Amino acid sequence: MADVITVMNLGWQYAPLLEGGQPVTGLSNVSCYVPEGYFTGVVGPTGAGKTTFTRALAGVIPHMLDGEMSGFVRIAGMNVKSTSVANISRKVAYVSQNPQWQLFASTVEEEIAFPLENRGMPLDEMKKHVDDVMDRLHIAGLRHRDPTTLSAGEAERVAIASALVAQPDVLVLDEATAALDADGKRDLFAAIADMRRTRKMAVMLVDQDTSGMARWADSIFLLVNGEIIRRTTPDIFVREQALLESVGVVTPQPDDQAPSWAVEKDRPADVAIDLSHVSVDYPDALPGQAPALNDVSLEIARGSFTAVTGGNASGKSTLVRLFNGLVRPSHGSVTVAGRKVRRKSVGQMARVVGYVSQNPDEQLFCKTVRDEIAFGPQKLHLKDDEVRRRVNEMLGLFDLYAIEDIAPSSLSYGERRAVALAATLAMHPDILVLDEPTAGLDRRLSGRLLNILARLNREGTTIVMVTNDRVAIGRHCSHVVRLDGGNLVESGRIVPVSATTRGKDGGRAA
Amino acid sequence: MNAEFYVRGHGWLHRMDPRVKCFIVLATAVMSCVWGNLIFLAAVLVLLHLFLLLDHTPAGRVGHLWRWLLPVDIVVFAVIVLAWRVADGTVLWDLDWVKLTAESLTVAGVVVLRISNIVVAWFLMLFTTSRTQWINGLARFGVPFRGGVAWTRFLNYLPQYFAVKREIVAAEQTRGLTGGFWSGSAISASANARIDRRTARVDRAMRERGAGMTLDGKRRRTQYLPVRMRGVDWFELFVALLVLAAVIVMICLGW
Repeated sequence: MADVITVMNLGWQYAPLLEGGQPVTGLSNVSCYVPEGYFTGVVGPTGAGKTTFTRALAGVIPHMLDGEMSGFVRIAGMNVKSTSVANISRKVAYVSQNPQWQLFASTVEEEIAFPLENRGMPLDEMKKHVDDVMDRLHIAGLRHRDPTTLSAGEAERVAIASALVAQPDVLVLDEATAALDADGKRDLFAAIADMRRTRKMAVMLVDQDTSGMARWADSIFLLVNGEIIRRTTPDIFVREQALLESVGVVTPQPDDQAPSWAVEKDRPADVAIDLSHVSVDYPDALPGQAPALNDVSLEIARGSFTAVTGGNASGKSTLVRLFNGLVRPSHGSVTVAGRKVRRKSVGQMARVVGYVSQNPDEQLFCKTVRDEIAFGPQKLHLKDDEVRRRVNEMLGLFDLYAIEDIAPSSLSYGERRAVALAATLAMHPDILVLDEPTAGLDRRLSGRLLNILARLNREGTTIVMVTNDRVAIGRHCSHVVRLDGGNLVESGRIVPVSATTRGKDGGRAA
Repeated sequence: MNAEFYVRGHGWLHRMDPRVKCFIVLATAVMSCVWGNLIFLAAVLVLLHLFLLLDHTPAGRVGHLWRWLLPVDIVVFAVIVLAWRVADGTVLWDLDWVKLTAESLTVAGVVVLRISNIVVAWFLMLFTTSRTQWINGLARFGVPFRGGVAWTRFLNYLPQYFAVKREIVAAEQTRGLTGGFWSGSAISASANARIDRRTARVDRAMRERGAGMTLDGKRRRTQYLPVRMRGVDWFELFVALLVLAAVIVMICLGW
């Protein structure tokens, strides 16, 4: 079988982050070959160079980023160095880490049709392709939506649809399943499998969740510190589990080993957050579109560690944005720490509620990491010494000293997440609200983050975390709230169910 | 993030071919500049609002436009009334430092109505024409895709700037800023830097999906929502030409 991807001695050095600084090594001496129609999984810790590697395959490196490339990459018969990104896209579809960055059209269907327009495809054919891919990924209902109003999971599906619609020879997915729920992942893998049955499409999947690649991949690359240290088969997840876990890669867990729990109704004596009959309708919703939240009544106990779970577009992010007033309810009332949120500004609520959004780029606005962390404590009118102490505490806690003078916007995804969290924690809020804080982070980083949250929770901070990570919920959370289509399905205290009990009574895993 | 002037809708102006709409807007602006008849100018302003009303463009959007336009109109009106000197005009009110004449009031009214007509006509175009319609409409005049994208970015710079500024202020508020929109420390430079970063990302995403791809032979970029003259567009163009001709006749007859 001929190779569709040939990479020889590939090296990439990003331009220095600071004037007069050293270039940052992204890849060094990477060599690999991928035969036509192969499904390859790429695993490795955060910062290992996985994104840089996929960028080199799509031609973003060396054509659109500052830095220096060495070695050779040939993909689908094209030399990446001498072929433009647009021409590479004729055969290579690329979905990057943050799908919302990739969406720009006025409606979802225009977004998906865009690659076909650029190929000069006739209108009738184009409509057929768009309808087909929307059906495969179950997003026909989003057809007329403005892409900027989609939830992260919906945006992810649209970005993937826009890549699949062109029927590429090579599909490169960089952490593109991070925001997908279980149904979304199943739809994606089914669509890929279906396409691979009829044509030889190679797939390069980078993901922290290795369960999909354990089942579907033909080969696995393990990338560490910018180098591929293993080119092997999916049985590495069993054979070299210890190695993978030591570098921060999560290995697939058999279903019977995943933590499982039941939810027990709970009426908290001391309430931190109280929602009474809350509904949210966004002003830019299409006619007939269901409300983002529908008549939700909920009490969250003070000192609890509550997980908010649910599928894509179930209203998780809308729910937690109510807590500090970023979203105002259309009906009902929200009371947080005894304060009626309706009567308070977001700035006033920030004294009680620390909020870390799903997308760190929304949250970072200062010129350096140090300024970013100092901003909140300064707004609390703390003395300079106290501000400095808190900033240093956070720099140490998240290991950010080496980058304290660098602009947050130029940092890696994992680092930006850490800065956003440090900047919020520095305010020492009573209630900490985090939206998908571990998405896209490797096992070590997410473990470290969750341990910090668990410690804060033990010290009295009420924590509300949007997540679908069953392991994290089972290990750290005391309560769970589950949403579906904007409705509250269940809420209460988590009661662990042991494997034996599960076997006897079929205890349900949330 | 709502970062454009365009208001989503399916009214008759939204459906109108952008070339016809552009012709109507230009004709309105040119005629308003050429003919200083108060009744004509006032009628045009009423007609433009009637168009927007029939299109179901939200009144809030039109009201928002007037929040900015009205103060400008008032200032212009006041400056002309106070500064316009007519040697032998009909004096309506005479103070030592200012003389109000019927002529100065007329001139001020004409200027204010002209400004209002041109601005409202232009915003009628902006409110009802999507980015895709702009890009595809320009493509019919031979403007390449990149040119169309650059034009829509230029048109929407202000709403994008304010949307980004709002986003930065919201981020500052979640970290304790207690003031409102104007109290944020987000100065032009940081909002502009964020806009530049987003523009670069979108450019990258467009190229990753084939914008600017080399096509074989006579093949051209196609459009998913092509701009086409429908029967009703030809009729609207005909009516617009008829009205334009009538106005020119009236000007020539010295009305």
